[in-house]
Amino acid sequence: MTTVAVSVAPRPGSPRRTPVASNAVVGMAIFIAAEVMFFAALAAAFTITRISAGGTWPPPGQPRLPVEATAANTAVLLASGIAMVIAGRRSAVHAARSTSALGLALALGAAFVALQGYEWVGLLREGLTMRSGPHGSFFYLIVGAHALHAVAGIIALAVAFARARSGRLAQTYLAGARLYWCFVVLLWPALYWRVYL
Amino acid sequence: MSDAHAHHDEGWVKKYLWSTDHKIIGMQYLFTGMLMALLGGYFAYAFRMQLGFPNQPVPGFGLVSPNEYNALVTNHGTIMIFWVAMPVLIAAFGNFLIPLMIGCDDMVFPRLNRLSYQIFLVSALVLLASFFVPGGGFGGAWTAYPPLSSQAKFSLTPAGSTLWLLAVALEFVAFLIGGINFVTTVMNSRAPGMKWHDIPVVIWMIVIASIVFMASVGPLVAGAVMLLMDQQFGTGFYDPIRGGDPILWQHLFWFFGHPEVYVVLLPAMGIVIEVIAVFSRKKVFAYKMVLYTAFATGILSFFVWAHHQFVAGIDPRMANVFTVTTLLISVPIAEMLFVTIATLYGGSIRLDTPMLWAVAFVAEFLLGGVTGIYLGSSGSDIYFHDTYFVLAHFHYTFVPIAIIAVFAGITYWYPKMFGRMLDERLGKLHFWLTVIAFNFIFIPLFITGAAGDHRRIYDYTKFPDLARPELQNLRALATVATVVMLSAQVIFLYNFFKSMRSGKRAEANPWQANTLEWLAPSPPPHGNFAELPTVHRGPYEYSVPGRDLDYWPQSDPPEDDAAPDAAPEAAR
Amino acid sequence: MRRAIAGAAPVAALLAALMVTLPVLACPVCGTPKNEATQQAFVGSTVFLSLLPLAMIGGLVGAAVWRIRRLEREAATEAPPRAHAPPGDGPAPVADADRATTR
Ligand code: HEM
Ligand SMILES: [Cu+2]
Repeated sequence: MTTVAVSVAPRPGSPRRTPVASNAVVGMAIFIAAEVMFFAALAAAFTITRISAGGTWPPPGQPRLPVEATAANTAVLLASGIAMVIAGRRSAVHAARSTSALGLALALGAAFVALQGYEWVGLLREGLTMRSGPHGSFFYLIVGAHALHAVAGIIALAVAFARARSGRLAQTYLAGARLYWCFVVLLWPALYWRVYL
Repeated sequence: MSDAHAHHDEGWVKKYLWSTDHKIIGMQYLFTGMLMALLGGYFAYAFRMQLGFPNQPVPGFGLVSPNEYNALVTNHGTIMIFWVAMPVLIAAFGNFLIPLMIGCDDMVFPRLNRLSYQIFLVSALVLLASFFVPGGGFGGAWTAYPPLSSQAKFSLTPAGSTLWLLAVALEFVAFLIGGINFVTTVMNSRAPGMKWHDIPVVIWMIVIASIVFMASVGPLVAGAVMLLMDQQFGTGFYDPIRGGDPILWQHLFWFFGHPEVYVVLLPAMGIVIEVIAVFSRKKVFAYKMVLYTAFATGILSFFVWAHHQFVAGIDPRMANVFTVTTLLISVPIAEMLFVTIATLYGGSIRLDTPMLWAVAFVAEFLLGGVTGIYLGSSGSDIYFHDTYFVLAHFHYTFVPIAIIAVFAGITYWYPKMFGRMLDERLGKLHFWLTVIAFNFIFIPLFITGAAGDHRRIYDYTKFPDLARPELQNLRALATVATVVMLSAQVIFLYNFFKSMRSGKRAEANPWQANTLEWLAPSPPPHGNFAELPTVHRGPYEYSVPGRDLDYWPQSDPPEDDAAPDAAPEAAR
Repeated sequence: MRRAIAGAAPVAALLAALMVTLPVLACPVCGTPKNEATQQAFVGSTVFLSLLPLAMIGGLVGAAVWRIRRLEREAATEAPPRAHAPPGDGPAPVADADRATTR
């Protein structure tokens, strides 16, 4: 083999094989699988602790979680997910056409997090804290972990929104962000069922 | 220094520290791993001296206090598994080999790749920092069972245990990013013509290991977050008095912990199979079988973890089930070993240094795997649990994996990595010293373990039953052998760094192997291949009847196009 | 497929049979018995956590295989003549020269 000085001008992304899915989507799907395991473990740990406690849940003397208000909030998040799916559909036609749907998804997602925060303030007032026993610890841990993921998703949505407005939104970015946001949205009802009901 | 590099268009920092080139990142992982291995070895030296020659000052360390002993043992294990085995076997070899062996110019996410190493580096620094905070490094064993790990009043290391946990968690993030990169790259960037069954075994193994890692790490991260909160925010997830459950941590830990052993085993097995095929000049015996076996191992590895908790008061029904699954998983493992032996059988074997290491892997790992069966039967494990028998068991698996197979890989790919050949004489000397000393460390420990040595004891002189001279002599023997094995590594380091400057220059394909990395120049330039290759056949076409060469590179165009007068293709 | 099921059945039966064990206080494996509900919660979450990764990996691999098949079918129907000829990346003579030097 001759050791020719190799010209490494970046070989422009000539597709070397038809990818099954874009790199962004494959990478994100794997990441989400790992995240699902993370949340599954939290839920399993919570279930075990809750069952070991025996009797009623929440334990006597502990504040009850705002089941109904959160149900409404769940609907807000689901709506945000639907808006995101619509944004994806529209951008398949033309990137700029996804702007309004993206904006809607962003606003609804932000509203979800804000409402959750409002609820937390109320619960803290009622005396439910991280240290007040397994009920509080697991509540803040699981819901807080989801909230952090939601905030990350909102940032990704905001970036997508800004890029869409200035016409620089790449399809792959949107595809990755959409997949992630769908994960955040669909995870929530499962957590709601486990933690609140 | 900077003058010598002036003709490069990038600066030294940009080229070696801030690079997105997969080979540089692989080397960063390799060198960091080697440094950490030296540290882990030093720790082992210190605590082994305390066990072999109790309560005497250790040369180069001083008197080992009980707390220091605990911190040394804990961090020895942690470092060797998370900062040596994982980064070297998966990250270093994965980064270096994947793009080269599948014939592309880099990973699909080069910047994420760089980020992965940087996070890893930070994690190593956090771990190092944990030795210097008030209270010292964490000493609650690498498994970090609560309540010892969760409350400062038990661990006595308020800051050390949190930093330790943080370092481990950061390290997982680094490998999660790396794993995503590996799997996506292999899926989407293979050279044209490379079908699933043309991918070299070692790449398959790294991919399967990454998948198993990513699917099992989530629960441990969840458990670690809970443990961190117990340590720092006063929650009681693992505190039975406050409604928590310490067994919960064991489940979350071992849910990851057992798959983890296969995460490191599979790449090691891949390296060994690769080397054995090349140096026996034979096709890998039953390539597809190896793949399916590796898949089966990956799947089964999720169903055995509770064998670590047989004595922890878990549900006896569960203990029964896990006994059976544990015995089941030895079947695919044994099968992979048989495949390597079948590949050796009837080959024209060349005993170069890489091959010596590969064969030693098979021999030594066998012993580790077989002793696992004793431990996997819940009945006998009641006796063996937490004795030196367990310790010898897992060192007979981990040392072949993280040391022997890694040396097989390093000596085999060294010409590709650095463009020069290692010294064979020094290599063989290093091999024999290391492997012989290794057996002299752990065979005595099997015996002391079977005689009842509990594995977390600082000073056996306090236990009349165990302080008997025949046992103490075995402990001293193991310690002396440790010193010999560690000293032998000096030979390797000398050979490694000296050959880098003055070794014989390596051709592109010094071992006459088939896989694509040998097509690139040694060392491969940025971008790897002058012209990205196309694949025409599987990776193990050695000694094909009717060919005058006994190897057949994957990228060579079929004979009948290139040379019309060649013999008819018998093998295809 | 049917053979695989037939092979797995005895193993599953064995595992099920092992589940009828009772705790024995004298036995160190059993330790202090927890209440039955907790034990079942542990068993349940063990099953759940063990099967979940397999389901996800199976799902993702299945989706990938399905899409690969579809892409291959599309490629085959779109361009039948070139379907099997790998696109020549470089001019053949250069490759020959390289081979000559390696020999
Ligand atoms: C792939 C190679 C293997 C590695 C790297 C490995 C590693 C380990 C490690 C690190 C431990 C000790 C954990 C601790 O308590 O600190 C361990 C214990 C154990 N191993 Fe392995 N192992 C391997 C293969 C096997 C096999 C094939 C089996 C069974 C057939 C097995 C069965 C066990 C059992 C039952 C224990 C628990 C013993 C006890 O703590 O009482 N291992 N192994
Ligand atoms: Cu295990």
